[in-house]
Amino acid sequence: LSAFDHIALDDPAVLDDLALALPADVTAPMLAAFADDVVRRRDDLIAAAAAGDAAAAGREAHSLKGAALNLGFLRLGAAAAHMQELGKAGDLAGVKAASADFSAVCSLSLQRLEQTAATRGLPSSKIRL
Amino acid sequence: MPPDQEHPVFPDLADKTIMVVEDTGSSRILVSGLLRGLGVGRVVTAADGREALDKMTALSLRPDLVLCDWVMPNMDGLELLTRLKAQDPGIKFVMMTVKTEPEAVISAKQHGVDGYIAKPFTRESIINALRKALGLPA
Repeated sequence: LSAFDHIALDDPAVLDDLALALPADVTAPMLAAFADDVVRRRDDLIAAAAAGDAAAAGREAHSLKGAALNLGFLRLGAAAAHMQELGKAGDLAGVKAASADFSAVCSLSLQRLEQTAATRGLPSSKIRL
Repeated sequence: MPPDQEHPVFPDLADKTIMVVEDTGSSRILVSGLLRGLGVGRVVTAADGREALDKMTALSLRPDLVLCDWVMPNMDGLELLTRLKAQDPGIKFVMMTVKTEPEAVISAKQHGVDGYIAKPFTRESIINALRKALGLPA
């Protein structure tokens, strides 16, 4: 259980609305890119925290927050916002303490992303976990 | 039904070139896809301000509008805005960002920004900001 479990993991209506607004060839590469964003930002955030750079960790969280909320990944958006605030405040101990919960939310979001792609009939090979 | 290019939502965007500058890959694909879906004729992307300037030079490109994230590595949105407006005051520039505190908005306005989109954005917020910045009817 993470500190963010009270927040819905995602809002599928966001992707439903986007599917109506995007050309048909966009959704699959966009979700694949989001999976890459989650993995890369999570890894870079944890590396920055390990290197003692709270501000850099906060910047990684900042970028992930916007991407997550744009696609309706509400819990990840909230977790990233929390990490961003800790980083911005220079609270390195706080960033490290919250990293496990943040990573757990990233993992759950990636699982949901894979389910979402399968449900929508998108090629699973495009989503790399 | 997803939009198709045979029947663009806004035919008056067909002759426009818009550059999307955004360091997060999924957001870059999302915004450029939304613009294509609206009927924008040409969408060029860059991952940061430095790449945006390099592409403009390499392609001899003068976009009708730049749609730009604020926080990016190498060169952020505010620096790109400042540089572009210094060399071409008429270029239209819309900032899209989670930085919505008043001092950030005021700073962007002081540097000549033509529009501001708060993240998470909606299709409507993009339509409104880009049409207003381009001087097109809502």
